[in-house]
Amino acid sequence: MSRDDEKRIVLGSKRYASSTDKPVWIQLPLAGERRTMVEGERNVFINQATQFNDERQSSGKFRLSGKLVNLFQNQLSGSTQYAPYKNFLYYTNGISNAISNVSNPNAPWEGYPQFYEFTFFREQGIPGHVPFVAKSASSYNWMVYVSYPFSSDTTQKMSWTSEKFNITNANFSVSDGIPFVMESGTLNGKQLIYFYCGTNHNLNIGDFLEIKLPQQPLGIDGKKVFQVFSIGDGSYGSERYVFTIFNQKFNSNQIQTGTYGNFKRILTNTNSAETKSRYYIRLHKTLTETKDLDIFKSGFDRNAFRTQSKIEYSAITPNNVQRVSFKDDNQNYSFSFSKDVVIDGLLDNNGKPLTSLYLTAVQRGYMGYFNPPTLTADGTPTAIDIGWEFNFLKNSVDTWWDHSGTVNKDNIPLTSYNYNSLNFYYNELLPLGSTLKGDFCEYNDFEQQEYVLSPITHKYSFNPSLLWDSSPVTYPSGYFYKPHHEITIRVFSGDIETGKKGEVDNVPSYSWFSEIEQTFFWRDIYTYGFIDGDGRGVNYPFLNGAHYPFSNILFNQYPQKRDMFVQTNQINTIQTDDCE
Amino acid sequence: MSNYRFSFNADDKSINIPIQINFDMEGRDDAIDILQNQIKEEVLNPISDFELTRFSHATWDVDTTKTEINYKFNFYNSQGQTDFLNNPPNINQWLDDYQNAGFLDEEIYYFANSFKKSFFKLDFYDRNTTENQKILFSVVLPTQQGLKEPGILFANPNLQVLVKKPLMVLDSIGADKEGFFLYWLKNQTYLSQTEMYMSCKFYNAKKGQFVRMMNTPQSNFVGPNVYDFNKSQYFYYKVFIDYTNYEYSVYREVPSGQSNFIYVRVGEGQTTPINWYEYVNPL
Repeated sequence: MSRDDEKRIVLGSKRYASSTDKPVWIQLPLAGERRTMVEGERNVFINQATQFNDERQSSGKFRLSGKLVNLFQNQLSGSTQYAPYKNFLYYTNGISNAISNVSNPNAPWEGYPQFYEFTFFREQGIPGHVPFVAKSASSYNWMVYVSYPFSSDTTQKMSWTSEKFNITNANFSVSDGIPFVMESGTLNGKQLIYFYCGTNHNLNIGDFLEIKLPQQPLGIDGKKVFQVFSIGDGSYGSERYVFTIFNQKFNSNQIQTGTYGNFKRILTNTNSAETKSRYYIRLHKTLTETKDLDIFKSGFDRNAFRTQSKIEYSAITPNNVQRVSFKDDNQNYSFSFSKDVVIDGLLDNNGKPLTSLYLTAVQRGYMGYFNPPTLTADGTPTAIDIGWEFNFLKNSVDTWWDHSGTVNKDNIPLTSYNYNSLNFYYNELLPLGSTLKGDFCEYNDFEQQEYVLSPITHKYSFNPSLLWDSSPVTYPSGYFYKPHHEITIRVFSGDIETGKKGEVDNVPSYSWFSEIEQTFFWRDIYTYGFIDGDGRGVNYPFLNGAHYPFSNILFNQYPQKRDMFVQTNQINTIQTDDCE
Repeated sequence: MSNYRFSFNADDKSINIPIQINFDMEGRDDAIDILQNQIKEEVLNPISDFELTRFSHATWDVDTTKTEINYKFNFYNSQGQTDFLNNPPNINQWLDDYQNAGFLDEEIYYFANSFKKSFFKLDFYDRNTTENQKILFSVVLPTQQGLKEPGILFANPNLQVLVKKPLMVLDSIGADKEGFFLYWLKNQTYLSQTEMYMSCKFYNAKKGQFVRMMNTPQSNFVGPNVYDFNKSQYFYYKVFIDYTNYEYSVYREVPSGQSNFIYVRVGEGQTTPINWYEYVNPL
């Protein structure tokens, strides 16, 4: 408060010697500042942080970029008579081939296709083969897109082979649930039934399950719903694949070892209809085209594995030209997209706002080494085989991978060109909005959560008419890879929100309503920049009106006959010596 | 209250009864909200998108399998000539050879500082009139790029080597990539500039001076025109940006008639490179 108008009142007699007391008065000014109230006037307080957050939360524009690590080891070699291929292999038997070549110039040469066939950014073609176009450097071998899961397919036919129980080709539809084989057993004196599953069962102790047995349509003793007693069978890593139920003195004929079927998870048996999980494969839709991708070598960034190259001396090459050939390389790549991805209005396969985009890579193989032609169920030429976790066996190649099969195919059209009087096959570029099959998933309405049980795997194979090895024509050698790589753009809360009908307001449009409980179920979506105590959330840069998520993509290409999900019963003990 | 008086006669009478209707628009509050946001947008700086993306050289018109862009820089060798007005130059005095710019073969071969710190600077403008043009961005082409030609070290015929020449073939792959991509605004919302004018300068680190370059040698001009020519026409190439494919292409703008132009694509191969010729000032 100001003291400018300070008044000091002194008694009259105190002012000076002859002064007398007398009344004094002060005129107090009553002043006020007024402003007319205007009807409808509004005040908006703006600060930078609020404004930034408002813009950030309302933006649905994404600019994706990241690093792509191509983990690959060249392990499959073959023989070829096609001269440009012969002149360009990484030779494995050069001296012997050179000797044969003297008497027979058409003799095949053996070796690995060079690393150029497996890289994401190809810097040279094959001399004598089709002309190399620099503009296509990033689309000769691979097609890379942004996709999102827009729908689900519950009709996908699947097949499982259990080597443990000698069950071959147990066919089922994805909507049937998780495949298993039963075995009777005991645990601590308790009679149990063990269920050995083809993929992650996603069960916890106390969960319920509904089984479907092709050989016993009525279930076990007329019963189909059981409760999980324990998880795993004691062997290492079995918790994900094995569970047990009580053997309630079931008829032994009904629980014979080797009985196979499928099950669906149920949360509570009092509301089994609504708490039962759904099983499906995702369907992805592409949001970009090949031309939208910018991919380039990321400077000095290399993965941990080594480059392998050698000099092919002129005397042991078919064309007597000395060169350096590359078997493996460890170059990493950076990628971005010239097209912005706008997710406004897009819903995922469960009708919820989009929380993940995917970097989808599909093999192309324009140079023709790969992709022997076959047909899809509707007669479209195609070459990429697809499968899931349970299609990889420990000791053998699953018959699922029969290249002439039709259920193990996706919507990836194949085409060809003719050069030097030979046909070379390659996968066509996918137009915007193309649909691709995806991961094997479970969704539970009560939990409002999707679980990926088994990622989809693609296989591309050598074309045996151009490069052959000892593999059968129906099971040509090739490499496997996972096509869809998740880029998290938003996160659902870890807590399930519920609200009784008529008692709550502002229920999200994507909530699920339980008819039995008359309750809405949903999970909140965290705002951009919010990370909860469990570390859930996203916080990536926002500028230029767009989000800039950065992803590290580990792209693994691995050869056939590898059991990715091997379970071992043995845990190796650590070797110690006397010093320890 | 209005009073009406009716006199009695046989004619029909009529009276207009005014019925007042006041319209009150629904959603007025919503409209105010919208207005409020509009005013807020005006007060605040709206979001401007300054993100850049790369534009690659478009495939050739004459060969759609090729994308490389060719620059040929021709330096002037005075050969003792001092005045173009009295001694008109001839085309052979411009050559794509760094020796014409004063570099020795050994300086080029050993990448002496004077050579490796020299560079070509391509400036991109919104228009080709110096009075009111704005520079948009620049691209630097280092002298380490380019094809090679035979050279002799220390004037010793026995020391024959290959040295760099100012003829650059740039592509998205290979050793010479610097300057192949143009980096420009990803979206056209902030500034829609799909046509640009490209000029060129050479910084000679040996002499410490910039030399301006033009798209036609001065030997093509006669008399006073050797210095007094249309700067807008001869100091620039025109660059078109294609936002559909994120590509660019370079053209020579040739006047046709009063106000029209013919565009001749350049940079496609070594037969039609983007030619730059050193501009020589009057004394």
